[in-house]
Amino acid sequence: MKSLLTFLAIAAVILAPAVQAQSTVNAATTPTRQGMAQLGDPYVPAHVKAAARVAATPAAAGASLQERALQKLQAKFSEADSNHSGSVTKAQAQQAGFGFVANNFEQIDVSHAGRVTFDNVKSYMRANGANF
Amino acid sequence: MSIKRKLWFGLAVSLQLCALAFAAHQAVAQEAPDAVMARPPVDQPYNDKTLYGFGAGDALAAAQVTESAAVTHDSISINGKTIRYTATAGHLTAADPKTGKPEASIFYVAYTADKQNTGKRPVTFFYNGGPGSSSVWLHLGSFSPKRIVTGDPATTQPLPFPFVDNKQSLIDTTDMVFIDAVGTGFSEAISPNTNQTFWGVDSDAAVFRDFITRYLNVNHRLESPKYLYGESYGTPRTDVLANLLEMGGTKLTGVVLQSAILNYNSNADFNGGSYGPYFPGYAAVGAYFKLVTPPPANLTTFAKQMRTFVAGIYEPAVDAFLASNTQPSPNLLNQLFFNSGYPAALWKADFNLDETTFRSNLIPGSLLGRYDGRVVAVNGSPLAADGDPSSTLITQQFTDSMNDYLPHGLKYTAVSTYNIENGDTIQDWVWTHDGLYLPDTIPDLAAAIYQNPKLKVLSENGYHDLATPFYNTELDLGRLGPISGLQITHYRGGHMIYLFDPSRLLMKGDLVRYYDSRS
Repeated sequence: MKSLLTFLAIAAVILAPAVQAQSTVNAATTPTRQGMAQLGDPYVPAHVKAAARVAATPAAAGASLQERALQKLQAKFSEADSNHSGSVTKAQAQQAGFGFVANNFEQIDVSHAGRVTFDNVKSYMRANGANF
Repeated sequence: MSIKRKLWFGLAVSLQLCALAFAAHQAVAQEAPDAVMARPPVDQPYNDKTLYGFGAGDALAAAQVTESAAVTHDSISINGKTIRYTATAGHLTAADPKTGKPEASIFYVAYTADKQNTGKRPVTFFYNGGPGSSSVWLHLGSFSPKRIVTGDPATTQPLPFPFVDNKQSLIDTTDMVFIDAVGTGFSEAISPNTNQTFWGVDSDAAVFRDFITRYLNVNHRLESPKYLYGESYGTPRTDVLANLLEMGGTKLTGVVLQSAILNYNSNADFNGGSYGPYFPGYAAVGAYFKLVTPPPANLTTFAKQMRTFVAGIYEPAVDAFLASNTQPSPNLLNQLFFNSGYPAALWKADFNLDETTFRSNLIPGSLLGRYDGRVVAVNGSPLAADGDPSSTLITQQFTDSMNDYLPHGLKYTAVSTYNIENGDTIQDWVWTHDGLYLPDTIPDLAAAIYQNPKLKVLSENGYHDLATPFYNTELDLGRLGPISGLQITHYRGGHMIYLFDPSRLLMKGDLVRYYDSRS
């Protein structure tokens, strides 16, 4: 127990300066983000920033913004398409909580097939003024 | 359950039954034939005996959860018109939309004007950010019927800050519901979830969706125009939440993004890279301290010039510097000095200038606020102690006011203390979203707009905000391309724009027009 406490005390002494982030350039005291961690909305902890930098995925560079937005709706559609038929019934939409499709089903289902494809959903959005 | 817990639980149930009986008595009394003058409705105080836990692993047992509230009645005169309103402070249960299982008990304070046509009367959901912040800043600082007077940006307002009727309250235009995220206020997860279950970009937005759904259903507001109003981290939350609501079948009328950070990847404070987008904010702050040459006559015009300067000159130079260590020309360093008041030699030392270094060195011996660059404190003074004088200026006063207002104004007494800020949340938060380590929520906003092209999007920005600089937000929103519902406004002031009296007045005017505008 005593050696554990000693270890912890030494560790605290060693780690304390590392926790304080200091700018090396200016003469004035640089305030540390740690002191205002609770208040610094928006704030991201150092370890998260480090991980993000390592991953370094460029924002929206691969797929376009439009593709990424539609991908989200496609993902919800796939979730509703529980039997992987490529189309979704009103009941399936409701089951999955895809209210946008369930509530507008009759208008999306232009051919009155009782089921809609994701293309039907896209056509419906475009018809209502969606710009993609 | 321990004996002690059983006793508390028993007491809570008894009090709840008394409250219900009292409310029923009130309902019966109000059905009696009208007198010549209607009796004013009686307040219904609530005493919350629940002990809330705000740690990552804390959760309420199902048996502890109630949907009780304190209800008070008041009125306010705005522009010569008296508005009677009801304040409701309490909890509603957010439940999983698929299974119906309770997820979290969410604390909220709602202000609803009496005798309104709910089909036309808007309801707006307000929340701050953090993540880990309660909604106290918007609640007591912006557009409620009451507000705290801070004197921002001055640091000389005598303590305690006054708590007054808010002549710029939005109660004349919309009902307002201030939501406290899980682990803040008196909001807590319900077992088997823990608070940490909801500490992530996606899980947080989902539980907000579920609370809003519950509120709309319980209060019969499904037909009302619905708005979201988020500040700071509340803005990426709004993007994710708006898409979740639209996908779920709840159609919004508009979203207000105040002091936004919609993509953490494009902000150098969080993802490294260029601080170019911060520069117009530095320039605005420099102009405020009369350090800009020549001194600009008009802030709007000056801001325009600074955007052009960054896009055409400073940003390309920073990019070259970061890519291949290309040194800036003396001419550019002088331009930077003229435009901001920050010395050329210091620009040379930190060409890709971060906001902390800027705030530390613009005024020798002093530190500027991060939220509001106009707030200045001498190094070593109490206001400078936590690194952001503009935040330190207000935090204790907001905390004290809330702790007083809850029992004495809202008549909500509690065993627990209202949790203003949760320091654990930010450390445990799950930031990943759509496969990125840090959230980019512009695609979420785009998806919401695809489903609802009439969505009215309003972005409000403070020129002097160095936490979420206005030009950074404009660049993020610019990725959306032309969308008819987008409006961007700017005001003198910092992150909490509304604390500056002239700007709160202007915001009120712009917001009334925004609410009245057709989609």
